[in-house]
Amino acid sequence: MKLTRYLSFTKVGLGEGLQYRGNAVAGIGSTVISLVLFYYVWKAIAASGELTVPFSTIIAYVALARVINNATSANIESWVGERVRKGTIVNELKKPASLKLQIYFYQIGRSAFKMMVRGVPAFIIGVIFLNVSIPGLSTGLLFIASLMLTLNLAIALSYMTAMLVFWTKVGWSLRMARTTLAGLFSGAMIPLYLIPENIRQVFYLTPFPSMVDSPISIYQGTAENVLQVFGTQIVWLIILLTAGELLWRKAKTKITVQGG
Amino acid sequence: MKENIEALKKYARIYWLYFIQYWKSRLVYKTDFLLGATSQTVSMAVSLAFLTLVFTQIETFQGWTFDEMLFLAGLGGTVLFTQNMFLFNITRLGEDYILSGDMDRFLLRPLNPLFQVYADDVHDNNLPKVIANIALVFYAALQIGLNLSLLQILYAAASMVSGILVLASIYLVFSTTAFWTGTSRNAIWLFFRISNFRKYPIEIFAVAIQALLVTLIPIAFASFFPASYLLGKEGFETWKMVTPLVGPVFYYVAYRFWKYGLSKYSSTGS
Repeated sequence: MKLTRYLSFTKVGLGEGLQYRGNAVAGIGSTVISLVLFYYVWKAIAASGELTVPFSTIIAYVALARVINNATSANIESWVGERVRKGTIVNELKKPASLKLQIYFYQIGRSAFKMMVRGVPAFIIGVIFLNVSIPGLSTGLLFIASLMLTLNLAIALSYMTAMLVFWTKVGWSLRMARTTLAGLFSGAMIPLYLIPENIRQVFYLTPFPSMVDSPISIYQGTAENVLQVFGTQIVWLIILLTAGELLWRKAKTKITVQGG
Repeated sequence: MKENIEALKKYARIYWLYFIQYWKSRLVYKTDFLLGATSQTVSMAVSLAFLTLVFTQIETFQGWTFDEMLFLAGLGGTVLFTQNMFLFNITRLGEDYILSGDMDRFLLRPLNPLFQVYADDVHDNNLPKVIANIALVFYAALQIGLNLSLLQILYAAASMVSGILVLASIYLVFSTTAFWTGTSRNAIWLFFRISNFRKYPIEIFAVAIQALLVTLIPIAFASFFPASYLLGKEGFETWKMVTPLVGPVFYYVAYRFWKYGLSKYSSTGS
């Protein structure tokens, strides 16, 4: 594989992000609104009962969850959906580059942009207002490594659901279902340690906790075994990539192009 | 007066024609409808799951029981998603009507341009949410053992209409800015986030935010005030009393703003 060839897809992704700078501003606005809401809701929850964890720790978790979500979003469903609907997916298939690597490198470009304009501001807000502590060097590096695995998990998961678009022809609803489910199961809405043990076990049967709760547990030092956290993330990555590949092989045999 | 009724009849008939036409084209994309409805149902289930999980940790949320929170969420949801189903299309004003030049088409026809924008699309994937939220209101009311007097039922009905107008005026004001900026999507996207504030009693927020929720983004009238009144909660008495009346006022102001924006419209033409 020629890396430079694929890096041109990354550039396209990055460029598309830069084109819509207004979206970036709105992104920061949306982050602030969500964090304000979460702040007051959790403050009210903490004031309403005896939680096992102090409010300051919870709100830092919630803020970090927002940082991770913002920095690792993927939207391959729309990319594929648009091309399947218009029929231009054929052009993509004709290029001398594999479809999944095209998508992967394109998405890396998009995500790099999101990481800068949405992840970093959320982090700064978290540090200044929401009790997020600055980690030590080794913890920081481990967190970034875990964050990169989350990004790959998000892309792999998005790719997997995007393959379903070859059957459904529409992408936005698949993406919406994926992101809302991920919001609940990953820890983005509610810190997983506040969930009753038996329910939490069910959550851990899904890949979602590896995408938000895992990097936070490294950041906040609550992970019992860091290697195990990385191991789980990698296992889920392998599972999702395999599932995506199997779906693609099925999809390939039944590509119908709309219109013509 | 008679003229007005005639005009109303005409618009109702035209809306019906648009509506039928819409469904005809809609049924071509059955999977889109089904999947859209499914994903909306999933998102509703997730927010209920969130509330349920929170209540595994606490008995009441600032004095509100689980069922009362469900009632609040259901009432606000019914209002929001009903408005989203029929009056949502205005949010596409910037990108899909002004920039594309389609607005010109509307201005040429002898029909109110705002009506034409509204009638151009029905956001039917809100339907499952509307149904689910109505069910939620009834379920919660039953659990609480809510017994409403005739007057309160009238209040509820009037507040819901008023609430729909309140939300419609927010959408209209934000979307109208597109006459200057050419874009309405981002503003609406931000409103989506803010609309989540409706699910909680406004006492939990700082006073500055409460002020925002009754003025610039007055969603408290479309959710918290009516729900709080019907549940017999203390506080905000005056606000609750004016709730059934504010919708038309807000919408009138928003409509004036729309007219002003429209007068500034110049075609992107080509």
